[in-house]
Amino acid sequence: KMQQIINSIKTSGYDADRFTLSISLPISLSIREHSLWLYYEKEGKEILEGKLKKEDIVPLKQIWKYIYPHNVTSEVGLIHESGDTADFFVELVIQWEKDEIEMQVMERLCPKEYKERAKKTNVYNMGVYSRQGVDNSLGSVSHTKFMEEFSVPPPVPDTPFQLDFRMSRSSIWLGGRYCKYTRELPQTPWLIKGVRKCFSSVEELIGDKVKEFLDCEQVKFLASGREDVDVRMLGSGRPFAFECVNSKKTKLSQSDFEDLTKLINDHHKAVQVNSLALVSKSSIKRLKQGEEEKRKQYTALCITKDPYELENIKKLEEFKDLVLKQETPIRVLHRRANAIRDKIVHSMTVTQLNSTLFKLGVISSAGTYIKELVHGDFERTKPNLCSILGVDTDILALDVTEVFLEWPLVEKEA
Amino acid sequence: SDLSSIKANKGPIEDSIDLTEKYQSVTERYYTPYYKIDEDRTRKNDLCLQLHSNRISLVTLAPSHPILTKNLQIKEVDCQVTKSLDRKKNKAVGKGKKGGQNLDPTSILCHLETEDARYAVEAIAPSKLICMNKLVLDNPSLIRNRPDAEGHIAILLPYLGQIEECKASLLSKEAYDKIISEER
Repeated sequence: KMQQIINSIKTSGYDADRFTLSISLPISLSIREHSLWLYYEKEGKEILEGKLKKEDIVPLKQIWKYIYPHNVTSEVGLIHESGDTADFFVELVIQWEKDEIEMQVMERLCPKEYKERAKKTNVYNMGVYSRQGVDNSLGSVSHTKFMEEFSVPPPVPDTPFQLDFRMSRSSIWLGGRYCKYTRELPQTPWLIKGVRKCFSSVEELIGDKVKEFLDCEQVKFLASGREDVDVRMLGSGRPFAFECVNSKKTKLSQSDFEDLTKLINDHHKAVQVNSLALVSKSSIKRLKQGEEEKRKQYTALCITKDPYELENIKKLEEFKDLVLKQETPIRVLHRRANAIRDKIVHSMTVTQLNSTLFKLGVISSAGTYIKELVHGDFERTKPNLCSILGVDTDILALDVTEVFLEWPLVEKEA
Repeated sequence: SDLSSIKANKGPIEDSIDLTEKYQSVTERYYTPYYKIDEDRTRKNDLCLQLHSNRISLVTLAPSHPILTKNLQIKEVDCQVTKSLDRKKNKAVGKGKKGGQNLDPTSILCHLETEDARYAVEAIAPSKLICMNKLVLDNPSLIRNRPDAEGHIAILLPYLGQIEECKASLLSKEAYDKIISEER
């Protein structure tokens, strides 16, 4: 079976240099070890007394660790590391069908403890028995009580063990920036009561290709904020990252990044990525920080109900760090609390297109609702372009032209 | 639609949408009106529920309401509906709008006091009250001047399970326009 495991590791496709090999044994082993010890204590009292304690016995698992990982290492050509430092894990699982049944003796030995645990299903959802828990409980059981409930020496198992193994990888994070050149695609899958409102999303168009290229089990999308379906994302793009779970490929060369970029960008012209890089888990929090703290730049296509005077709208360029009070926009009021938030419009630029149409450039603080800055949302946003210009103004289209966050942050080689 | 129907547009913003569409106000663009007309056709206390695509609704006066047709001055917007119930004191906390006053279609939101009459504004939809419009409480003339925009009277969140039934009991714009034009 070890040979089978070795072959599996070699052919698995995981590009790891190091690995950790561990074993998981049936929990009833703890009870049997205790029983065996009691037997030796009883039979070899004169020899053992004062010289050997239960704690001196090297656990089976430890002995296995001294022997096997080393054997496997030379065969698979990977360096073995114990603990959490390697990123590739191979776990042997030994299971025995009578394990549960034998462990039920714990209910008779420590009835109060185990009956309590059986009730607390949310805490003990993985089962009431754990190796540590059983070891601790046995410490408080008297020898006579134990021998009443469980045979000493332990009975010979009459059914065989099953040996199985699992291979897994710690997650890696792929960061980058994306641009969205369409007004018909949501950032993340859009479902209402389980029914898709749009056939795809930025997350899926990029994520599916990342998953394919890295050959991983699952990808989880994170982004620094988001834009509405009908808003384009232009400029250098919005920072994002994917957590890639259990991925076979974790080492990427310069040409790998180029190939992956091309793979994603060829998939659909409306979603394009750039600056792909592996990022550390700790840098991920910058995405959220960016969403909450960093400025954004927008272009809004605005229309007035009546023709405007150019000098009138040029006034907007004189504002610096204009403070807005924005009550939760009605269009998001169904899912956000009704509150007033202060936002800042750092600067604005205007470009005339015709007598009722103009382009507005805005740089604003994080979380500013630009559509409401323009039309005022029935004065729930104050001031707004309608109140400043003195004419009904509405927004026909919006583009995010820049997200001012340095991303990705590439770790320097140690 | 599918992948092939979505096109990439990298051009300037004015080339990224259809500019030939006629100008619509914010209300026309994002809200669908449903009308509740007064049974008493001499009083004509006609109201309108402006329903946003996210189900949030505004309660406003319908264009056929005497305050609008006769340009009446509103002296006061009285939110003290009963001795113990003041709509102004409504508090809807958090995303779920917890604590928001429960409303039936005939619950009264407020009374509009004009020189000659006192009009009761009903909730129209079974819903939770999110807020009365503070702007009109301070400046009642907005109701007359900007009835379906800044002059909305209240913002409600109709109950999900009852909204379809509610819509069915009200008049669409087409039906309303027909009835009103026949009245003239």
